[in-house]
This record gives sequence, C-alpha cells and structure tokens, in this order.
Amino acid sequence: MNTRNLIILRSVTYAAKARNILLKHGINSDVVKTPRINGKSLCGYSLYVPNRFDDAVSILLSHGVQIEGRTDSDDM
Amino acid sequence: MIYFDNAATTYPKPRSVVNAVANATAFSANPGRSGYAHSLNASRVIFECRQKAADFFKLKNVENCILTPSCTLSLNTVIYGTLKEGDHVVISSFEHNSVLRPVEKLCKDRKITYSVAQVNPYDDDETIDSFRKSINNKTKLIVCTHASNVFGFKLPVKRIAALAKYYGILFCLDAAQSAGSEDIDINDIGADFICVPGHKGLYGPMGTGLLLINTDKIPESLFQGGTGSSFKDELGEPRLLPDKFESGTINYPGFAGLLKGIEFVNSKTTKRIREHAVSIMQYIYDNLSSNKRVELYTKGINALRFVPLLSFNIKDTDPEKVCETLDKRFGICVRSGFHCSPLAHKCMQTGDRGTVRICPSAFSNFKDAKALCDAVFLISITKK
Repeated sequence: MNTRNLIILRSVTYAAKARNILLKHGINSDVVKTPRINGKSLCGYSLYVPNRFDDAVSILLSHGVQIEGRTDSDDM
Repeated sequence: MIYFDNAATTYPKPRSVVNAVANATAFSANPGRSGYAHSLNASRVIFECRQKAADFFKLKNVENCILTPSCTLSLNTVIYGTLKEGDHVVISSFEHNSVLRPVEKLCKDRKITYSVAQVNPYDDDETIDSFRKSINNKTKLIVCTHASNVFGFKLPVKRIAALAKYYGILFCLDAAQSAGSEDIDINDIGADFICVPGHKGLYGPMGTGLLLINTDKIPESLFQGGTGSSFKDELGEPRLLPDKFESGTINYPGFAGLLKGIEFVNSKTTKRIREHAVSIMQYIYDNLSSNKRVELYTKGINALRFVPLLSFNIKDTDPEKVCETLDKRFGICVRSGFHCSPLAHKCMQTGDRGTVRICPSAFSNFKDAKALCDAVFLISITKK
C-alpha cells in the first residue's frame, strides 16, 4: 500500500474540502483511506498528492486546513 | 391527485431526486468509513451535498453545514445543546412544536425559563418591541420561525437577529417554511444557527435536514457514536465539525437526493419559485375571499409579509370534514387541524377548531388551483 505523498487529515469532510482547495490551485489529488503508518492504524482519510506535495501542504495550511500529518517517504 | 400540502412535504419530487435516491440505495456504501470505490463515491456525494447546501445559504465554512435527519432534530440540537439550568430563552407566538416542545420540556427538566414574544403580523415595530421586552439578563438564546407554518406570516428576522446580537444573545432561525422560496443568506440575516428541512422547499427526500452553524459558540451534541474520523488518543466525541453532530451512519440515499433537490431549486431560482407560488396563492385567495362562507385569516397575499401558504375555514363546518371531503370526493390533498402549532392558533384565535391549510409548490398549476377553489365552493354550499 502506498504511503508516500500523503497529507493526513482527520475526516473525509476535511479530505474532500482539501481536495477542492488544491484543485482550485491546479493540484490534483485523491482522497484515500489513511493506511497503517509506522505500525499504527488511524481512522480518517488522507489526500494522496503525487506532484507538488510541499506546495499542497503550504496551500492547505494557508487555508486553515488542519493537517494531522504528512508522509514524504514510504513509511511502511 | 391534486396536491396542496407542500407545507408538510413537497410533492412531487423532481425526477432527478427520485433517481438519485434510487441509485444511492441500489449502489450504496457507508460514506466516510472505508476506502473502496463505492464508499469513496458515497463520501464524495455527501460532500457535494454539504458544499451545495453551504453555498445555497452563503455559509463560509463547509464543515459548519451539519447534515441531520430533520429540521426538528436540528432545532433540538441547538435548544438542548445551548441551554443550561437557569438560562432563559425567547420564542415567538407562532412557533411550531419542534421549538415549543423541547423548550417546554427543558423548562420542566432543567429549570430553564422561557418567554413568548407576541408577533403582530402587520406591525414589525410592535413585534420587535415584544421581543425586546421578553429579553432578560439570563436570556441566552432566541429561537424563532422565519414564517408561520399555519398562516404564512413572515417575521422580521433580520431585526430580531440584530436585537439578539445587540444583547449578546444567540439567534436560531427555523427556516422550515422559507428555505427554497426565500433568499436566505446566513450572514445577511445575522443568524448564529439556521435549521432547515431537506424535504420541503429544497425538494429533497424526507429524513434529511440541515443545521447551519455561524458562531464559535458550538452547542453540545445530543448523541454520540462512530464518526469514521481520526482520534488518536481521545475516547470522547470529536470536537471538530461536522463530525461532532454526525455520529452514526448518515442517510446517504437521502442526501444524494437532497443534493439534486438543491440543484433543482438553483436551476429554477428561489425568485421564480416564489413568484410562481405567490401567483397561484393570489388566484386561490381572490377566489376564496369572494365566498362569504369562507373564513380567511390574512389580509391579502403580500410576498413581502407572507410565504405562499394559506389557512381557511368554511363557516359552521369542521375543518377535518372539509379536508376529508376534499380528499374523498375531489382527490385534493390538504391538511387540517392544528398543524403542530398550538401557539399560532392561540394567537389567531383558531384554537377551538384549527384550520384547513393550502400550500402550493413549484409543480402546482392554475388548473389544480381552480379545481381546489371549485371544490371549496361546492362544499361551502352543501347542506349539512
């Protein structure tokens, strides 16, 4: 399971909201169920952002979206 | 069948709503729980509905648009979630039981107090004065209807909201009879909460409602449970919105339908829906008012002061009998009785018998309106 380039959010509503924000800034992303990371399972949803990952994080933070975490490398 | 009971629920629903409900039921999955395609698609539809509803009422943050099973539950959430022992609440003299009953119960159980501000449908200054006089130093919340579900009177809600803000009181608007036919901007009105049914003026299915929150004074939740959201070390309910108020499985088919209902209203525009309904109502009013045996309770149809909804009675005739005859003999659907609003009947002195209520929709037409008027005429001249 891919755990790279994930922006971890608390709920599916925030994931969908974040996806829409990024789309308006020309960044594509997919809502995915947050996978097991570092041996820990989390409920909630993440955004898989294949490109411009750092930009995406900055944009979401500037829009007040609460980010629970991020994975920049394969943490499985 | 001729249907004029749209104040109870709109009928028919747009075909797009019916199809959306059917499709969501046929291809259902629990939104916000899993990661497979069906579940993610359901989540996407729910979010779209939430976003469309937030945009419709000009609510800035989509997460502040709570999806509820009904307007009644939305109102109960605000009332029960806001008021504590010793608090005081003000309601209007036209409130529906979905406001009166929880307030009355809290009065008995939690020892709150409440006042009923008297509404003069033809004098907003007098209405505002009554609200002002009803406020005391313990008033925490004002809840009032945008429009009476019995008589159609609109309350001066912007002025009531301004009054509430001046005194630092929360204001909750019950938009059950106005959402979809009136332009409602939560910021322009100045409401802290707006409660909306999905199945009336928004043409969605029953079992859907909205609670719009425009304040940082978030109420307590009525119930707790699973939300599908991430809480690493917390055992209690989530604090974040909308999850705090959306425990349990959401009514995915319902809100898939409500999404289409809002799209339908947007496509027609509230202005055109209102103008159409008002014109039907004007035709009916003009006809009924020319019948000496018909009792009306409003001075004409004025779109500034009323939503398109009308109550009447036939002299010396039980409204239940009128309703039954309209149904059985003429195939016309209306509602009779007290319409879950004893306060409104007390205010208008129809508390001994109730009324027959008519309410058109976007799908009503003049042919049906004429049939209704002709039927009322025939009933009125029938010997008892």
